[in-house]
Amino acid sequence: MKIMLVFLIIFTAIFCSGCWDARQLRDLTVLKSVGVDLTEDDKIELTVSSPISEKHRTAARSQIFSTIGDTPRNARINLESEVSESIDASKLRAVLINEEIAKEDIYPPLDVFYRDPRSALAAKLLISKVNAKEIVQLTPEDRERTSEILGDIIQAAENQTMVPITNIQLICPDLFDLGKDAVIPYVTIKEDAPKLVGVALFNNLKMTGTLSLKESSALLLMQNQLNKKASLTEQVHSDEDIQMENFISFNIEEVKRDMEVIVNKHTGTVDVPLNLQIEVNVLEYPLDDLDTQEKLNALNDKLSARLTEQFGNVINKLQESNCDALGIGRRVHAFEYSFWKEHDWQEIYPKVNFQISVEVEIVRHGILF
Amino acid sequence: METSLNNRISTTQVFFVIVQTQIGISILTLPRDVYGAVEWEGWISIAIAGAVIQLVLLIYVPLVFRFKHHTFFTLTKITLGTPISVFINLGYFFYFISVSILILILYYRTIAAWLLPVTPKWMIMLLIISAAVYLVREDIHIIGRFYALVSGLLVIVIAVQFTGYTSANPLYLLPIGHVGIKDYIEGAQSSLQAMLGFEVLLFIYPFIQGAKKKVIQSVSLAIWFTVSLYIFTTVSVFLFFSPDEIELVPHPVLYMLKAYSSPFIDRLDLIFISIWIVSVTTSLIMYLYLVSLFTQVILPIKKRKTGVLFGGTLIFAISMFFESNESIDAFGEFVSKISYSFIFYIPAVLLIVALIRKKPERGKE
Repeated sequence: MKIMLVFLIIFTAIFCSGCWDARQLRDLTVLKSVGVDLTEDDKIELTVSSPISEKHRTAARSQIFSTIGDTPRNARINLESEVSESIDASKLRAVLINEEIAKEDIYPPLDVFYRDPRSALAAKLLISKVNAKEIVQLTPEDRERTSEILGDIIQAAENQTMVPITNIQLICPDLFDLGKDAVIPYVTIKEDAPKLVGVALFNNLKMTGTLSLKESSALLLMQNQLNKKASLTEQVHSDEDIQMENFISFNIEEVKRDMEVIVNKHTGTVDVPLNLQIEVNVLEYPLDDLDTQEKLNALNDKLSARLTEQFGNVINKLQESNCDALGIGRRVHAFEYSFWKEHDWQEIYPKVNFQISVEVEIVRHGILF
Repeated sequence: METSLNNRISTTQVFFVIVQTQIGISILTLPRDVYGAVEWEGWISIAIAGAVIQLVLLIYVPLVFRFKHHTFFTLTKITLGTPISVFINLGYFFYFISVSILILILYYRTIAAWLLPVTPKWMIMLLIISAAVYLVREDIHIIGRFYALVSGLLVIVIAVQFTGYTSANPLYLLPIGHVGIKDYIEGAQSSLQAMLGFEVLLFIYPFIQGAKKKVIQSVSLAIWFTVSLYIFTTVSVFLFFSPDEIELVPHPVLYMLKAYSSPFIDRLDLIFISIWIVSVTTSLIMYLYLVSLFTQVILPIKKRKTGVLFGGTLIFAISMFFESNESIDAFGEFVSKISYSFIFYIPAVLLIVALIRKKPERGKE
């Protein structure tokens, strides 16, 4: 018994003390944001920012490294030799991919994130209009790091139904789905700060176009993805003297979407009647003219007509980019599988006949008429 | 062989023994495996496999019931005579060893990929095999109790998967019926590895305390519980990943959990793995128990505890030789193939022979 006990103590002392896979924070360089660019000779330039702990902090709050390699992982290996610590990407918040790479194929630079068991799949994925390096390198005054500004901007835009809720993982099903295409936030730099300008449209793995923030809001409403709120401003008059009085701003309270996908097998065409009923709450209407139902109805009609036109334009842009963001193809796949098998959706989608109609109803107008 | 009353297991424990032996290593790869055969309709194949196993159970019960005071190893002797039975029993011994080895190496492969990439292979394997040896040294009723105890963890296995439903797309499951009957059967075959474990009924029947009907009930219940859990898991995964994406992911369940992030909980895959390790251990324990049963009944080693240590060492030693993914996959394929004989053909032949010979069950009187 005693021998067993001694053996047990020796055993635990030897085998339960060391952990091969222990990772000490002091040995790590923690990445918060990563930018991937293409150099002129088709190599990958990886720019990363890592916070400096308060103890070692001088003036800069984060350190920026940039290396070149054949692939993002290769660049990261090169980077490790530079920073003399091992690199940890499990706390990543933002990944920026240069537009030039996205236009070729967005998957190769992302592969490393999907493959590494420790990577942070919840990091935000962004397409950068300028060099991603420039955005990662920014040194903001009011925040600790660029990654936080980026994270906050995206979060706010998601809440206001301006960009879809995405991260590296959530975007993945859409990238690989032949019947639905991805939409990824699109950023640039304005006055030394990152600025969200809209969304990048994808056709499978290739970026093929962009939408402005207003257009992407419209897209999200058509996708029935109203988040916490969505606000729009529309011009409803053109004859008022004071320019401000031509406009109305409103919050979207509720959206009812009615979408059908009708496949005509004989002609090989697809019709998509898409009907949106939107209930709005007026936020600002300097004309102050909402006291009777007739006036409200007239305004409803005006808004409906304007939005129908605008939403239609968004659909046109989507079709031009061959970006099936509404997942029409997925529905055809699910409900008309034989049609899906016979036809190449890539060719059918741009010819899909959308019939958009938007009905706006003002249900509230604040505490004024 | 006489079984004393104090090492018997109840019919409730039989339920847990079957469930825990079935659920193990393969739950991680099952959705991907069935996807390979029938794409998004994989869950139908799993249900078919469940139905087939239910039928196989109908072969098992009359067979073992006829010889309810004998272990399976002596049963083969009675029905087929000594020379053939030696051969068959040895076959079962190798089958159990193979399944144990497969469990161990697949376990290592998953742990190394997901959790502990640097920890040496022998350490990871030694930890689980020593836990298994420790428990198998005890009698079957202790094992049964342990299985019942850890089955509470299955609640977590189910609960964490609901996080996948935060970004589920029901359209990914449609259309239904886009492949032929042959494909469904093929899918059912590819889910067989996940179903393995119900065959332990052949060997533990003499230790079960309870009426025949009760045993059938609880084993059927166990099979359908496992099948339901598998279907649930597969459907969760299919809803989460788009069809073309799933082909890239060898462990879709873990991947789905890893993707989930919320302010107060993160990396659910690690929680899942920790629980899954228990499920793997329980499968390993059962097969190691069967190995030791063989050594006790057939070999001159009369103390089962010695046999356990022998079996454990053998499994551990052979497992160390498997390095490349290719050899592991080939071995997995091999085990799948031979398992048909051991879980289906041999019991069927035994039943037919037993029925023809009409050997009455007397036991030791």
